[in-house]
Amino acid sequence: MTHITRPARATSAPRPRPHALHVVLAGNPNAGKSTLFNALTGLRQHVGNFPGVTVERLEGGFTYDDVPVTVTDLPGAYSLSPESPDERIAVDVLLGRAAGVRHADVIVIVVDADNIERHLYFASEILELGRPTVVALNRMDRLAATGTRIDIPELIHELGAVVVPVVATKGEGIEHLRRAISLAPTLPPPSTLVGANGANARYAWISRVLDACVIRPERGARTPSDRVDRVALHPVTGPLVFVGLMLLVFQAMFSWSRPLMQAIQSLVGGAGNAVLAGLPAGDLRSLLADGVVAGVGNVLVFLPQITILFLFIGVLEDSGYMARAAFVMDRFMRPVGLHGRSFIPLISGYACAVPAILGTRTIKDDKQRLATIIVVPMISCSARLPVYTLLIGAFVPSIAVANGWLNLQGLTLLLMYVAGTVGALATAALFRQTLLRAPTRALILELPPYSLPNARVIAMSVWQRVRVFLKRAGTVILAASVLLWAASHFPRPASADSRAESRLSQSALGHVGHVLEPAVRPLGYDWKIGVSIVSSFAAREVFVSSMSTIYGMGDGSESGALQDRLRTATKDDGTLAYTPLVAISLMAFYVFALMCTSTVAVTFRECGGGAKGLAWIVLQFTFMLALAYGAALAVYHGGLAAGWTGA
Amino acid sequence: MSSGDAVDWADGDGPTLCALAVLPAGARVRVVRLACALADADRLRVLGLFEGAHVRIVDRGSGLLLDVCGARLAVGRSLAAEIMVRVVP
Repeated sequence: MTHITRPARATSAPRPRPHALHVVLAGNPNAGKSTLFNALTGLRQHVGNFPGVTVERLEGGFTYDDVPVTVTDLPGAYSLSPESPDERIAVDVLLGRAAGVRHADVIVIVVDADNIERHLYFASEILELGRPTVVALNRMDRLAATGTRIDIPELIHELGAVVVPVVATKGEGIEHLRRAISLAPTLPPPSTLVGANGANARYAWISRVLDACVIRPERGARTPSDRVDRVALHPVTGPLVFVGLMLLVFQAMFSWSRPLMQAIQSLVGGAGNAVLAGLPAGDLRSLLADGVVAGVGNVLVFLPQITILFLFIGVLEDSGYMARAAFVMDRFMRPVGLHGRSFIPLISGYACAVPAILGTRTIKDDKQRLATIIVVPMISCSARLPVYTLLIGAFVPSIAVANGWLNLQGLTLLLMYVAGTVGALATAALFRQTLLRAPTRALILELPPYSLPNARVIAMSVWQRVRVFLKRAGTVILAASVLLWAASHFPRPASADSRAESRLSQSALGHVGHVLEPAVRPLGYDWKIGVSIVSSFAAREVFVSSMSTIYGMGDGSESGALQDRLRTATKDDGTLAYTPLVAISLMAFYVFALMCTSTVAVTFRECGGGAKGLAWIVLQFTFMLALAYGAALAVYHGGLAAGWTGA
Repeated sequence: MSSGDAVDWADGDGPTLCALAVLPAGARVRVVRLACALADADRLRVLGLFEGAHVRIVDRGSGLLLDVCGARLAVGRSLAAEIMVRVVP
C-alpha cells in the first residue's frame, strides 16, 4: 500500500538543490505527531523553547541525499484560528510570522488515517497556504480492523499534494516520507481547495473528498475503546479507576524502586569510601567526600523513583487515558472553579511544576489559566520525593497495612500527595472566588482511542525528563553542595581541637542557622533543619544534600546512611533531636512551601513578566510560605497536644 | 436555556427540536443550532460539530460522549444543553 504516485521529477523545472531543509510537523493533537517525529529523527533531537515564549520546542534532524534536514515538532492544533496560547505558536510558525523562527521550507501535515474526516479540516487549511507540503497519512495499520480503505492516488489528486502512508509506531513508510520531504520544494505548490469560508463549507468539501477516495463501512455502535470507556468514564466507576491507578503509581514509586535505590546507595557509599581511602585527610578529602559525593550522591539515589513516576505519566498519556482522567475529573474541578483541562497540568505537576506551568498554555481562559499556574506548585513534584523519602524512610516504620496490600510508608507518602492536592484545589477555589472571579468555560475534549503505549515514545520522554534531573544534580545541586560544604567548614573555629558539633556551630552555616532558629523553633525544628530549608530554595532536593553535608562532616563519615544518622541524632542534653512528629511537620512544610527557583522564574514569565509577573510571584510565594508554616505549626502542636511525643 | 429540558419548538414536520443533553445514549441526531457562547460554538464547529453535522451519543455519564466524524468528543452536560438537535431515525 506504500506505492507513492506523484508527478515525476521531470514535470517541474529542476531547481537548484537546497543546502539544507527546514521542516515543520503540524497536525491535530493525537495525530501521532510525536511518534512520527521520533521515527523521522531518531535520537538526534533536543528540547528548546520557541523564542520569547516558553512553549516547548522539539527539534531534530536527519540527512537525506546529503542534504541536512531539520525537523521542528509544532504543538498540536485543530485549525488555523488558534484558541489557546499553545495553538497560537503553531499557527504563527505555519504562517511564517513567529519572531525568530525561520519560515519552513516544507510543511508535513500529520493526518490520522483512522480519523481522516476531522483531520482533513486542519490539513486543508494548511494546504491552502500554498507552501510546499507533504501529507503524512499516519496509522494506516488501523484501517484493516475497521474495514476502511483509502484510495491514495485519488486522495493525492483531490488534495493536490503528495500523500505518504505511514505507520509511525512501526517505522513503516518513513523512508518514503523522507524522500517526499526532500522533493517537496521542487513540486508545484498546492492550491485553493475549498474556496469558501466557514466550517460548514469546509466539512462539505471534506465529505465530497471522502466520497471520492474513502470506502468506509458503517461504523459499529461501540468500538473497543467505547467499551473500556463505559467503565473508565462512568460517574461512579470512573473516579474509582482513577484513584486505583494513582494508588498503583505511588505503591510502585515506593516499592519497585527500592532495589535500584539500594544499588545506587551502595555505589555512592563506595565512591565515598574510595575518596576516604585514596586521599590524605584534609580539606580536599572532606570537600569531595562530605560535599560532592554526599551532597550529589544522596540526591542521585532518587533517580529510580523519579524515573518510575515519569514512566507512569508517559504510559498514561500515550495510552490515551490522560484525556479520560481530565473528563472524569472535570466534575470535581468545576466546584473549585477549574476545568477538566486544568487537570492535565495539575497531573504533570506531580512530576515537575515547570513543564506543568508551561502546560497551562492549552487553557483558553486567562483567569482559569492564572489560577492553575498559582496552584500547580502545591502539587507534590518529584523534587519533593527526596525529602519525603528521606524522612519517611527514617521515621515511618515499614508496616504492612490493608492485609499487606499497602505499606505504611507508601501510605504516608500518598497522604503527603493528597494534602498537596487538596491544598491546591482549595487555593484554586479561593482565588476563583476573589482575584480571579469569572465563569468557568464549558468542557470540550477530544478522547483519542486507547492504544498500547509506544515503548520508544515513552523511553524518549522519560529520558528527556531524567536528563533534566541529572543536569540539575550536576549543576545546581553540585554547586549548592560545594557552597554548603564551604559554609559549614569556614570560618574555622578558634580552638583547634573542638568537637565536630561545635565546629559546625561556629561556621558561617552555623551562624545563619542560629539567626534562623527562633523562626523554626515553634515548628519543632533545630537550626540545622532551618539552614537546610533556606538553602533548599535553590531546589528542594538541596534539603537532602544539605542534611548530608551537615551530618556527613566530622567523624570520618563511615558510609552510615543518612537516615540512620537522623534517627539517632541527639541534642546537647542527649535526647533525640528528631522525632516522627518533627518529620511529619517538616513534610507538611515541604508539601506547601514554594522552594524552587525554576518554578518562580517560569511563573514570572508565564504571568506576563514585568510588574505583573512580579506581583503574582510575590503573592504566590508568600501565600504558599504562610500556608506551609501554618500547616507545619498545626501538625507539630496538634501532635503534641494529642500527647504524641513521637519518640 | 440553562436547564436541559426539551424545548417544544413546534415547527411543522419532522421530530422536535431538543437539546442534546436530554437524549439517551445511542441517539443519532443532526445538529441544528449552537446556542452556546460564540467561542465554544467556533471550537465545536472546527471539531466537526457544526450545524448540519450528524452526531451519535455514545454514552452519558457526568458529561456526554459523542461520536463526531468517527472521533470521540466529550462535552460537559451544561454545554450539551445548549446544542439544539433533531433526532434522525
